[in-house]
Amino acid sequence: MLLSRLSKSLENNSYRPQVGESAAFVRSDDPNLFGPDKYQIEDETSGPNAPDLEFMGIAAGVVEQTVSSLIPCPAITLFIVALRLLFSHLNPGEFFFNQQCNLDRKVVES
Amino acid sequence: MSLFLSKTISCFNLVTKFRYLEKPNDLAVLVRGFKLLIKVSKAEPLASALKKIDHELLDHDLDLDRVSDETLEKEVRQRIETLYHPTSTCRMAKLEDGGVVDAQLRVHGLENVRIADASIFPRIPAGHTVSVIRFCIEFLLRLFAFFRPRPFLQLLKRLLIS
Repeated sequence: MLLSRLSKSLENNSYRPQVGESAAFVRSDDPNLFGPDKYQIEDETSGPNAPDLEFMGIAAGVVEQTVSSLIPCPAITLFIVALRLLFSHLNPGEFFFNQQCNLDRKVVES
Repeated sequence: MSLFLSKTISCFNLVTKFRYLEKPNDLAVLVRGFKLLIKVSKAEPLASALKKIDHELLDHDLDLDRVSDETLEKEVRQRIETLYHPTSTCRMAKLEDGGVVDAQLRVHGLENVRIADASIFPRIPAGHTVSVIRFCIEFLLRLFAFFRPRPFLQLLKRLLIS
């Protein structure tokens, strides 16, 4: 359905890609962008000019990054992406099943 | 013989706990980012293009002069989501530092098992992960080219042994 709409808009020459396209990369310790506050940002970037925040926009109102979460009124969404999080290498996450799961019931065929 | 899990397993969802915002620095970076979002939305030419519509999910009331850092921290904790670029689950580091593979992409303790994908990144890169994965594959191919069996040398060895 999306493809047919896309092809129609391509035929009408009205296709404008507008989903999550505008992006800018900034540093969170940039004194030109952020005034003084209580936070002492540790430099976790890969270099003096490397970013740790990505600024993006979507030409629709969404609650999450899914099509099903569209807000039914004209809106734009601005969001920020933290690029260099610490948790990823210092504290490994966990995997578990959301219900009690009988993993020991394996089926063995011989 | 074959070994597989019973069908009932498919009704359970695997839950991943990434431990977001466990470090205070991560929260501070995101709060600064939130401030940038508010600043941009209040700046021209965007500010004059926006009209106020009453909807519970739209942010018209966020203003940096009125909102405290604590409120922004709460908002960040409520609104955060992942962009599904998980990496570094088998990170390249020493065994005592919690690493899984060494600089030759070999799993520690295993001679012939190598990993080349996003799981070996020591840190998540600031750009898209796919370009770094391509470099990983390139590096792996070069390793294989270096260690490949050389037919001429093998022939020479056979001749010498015989």
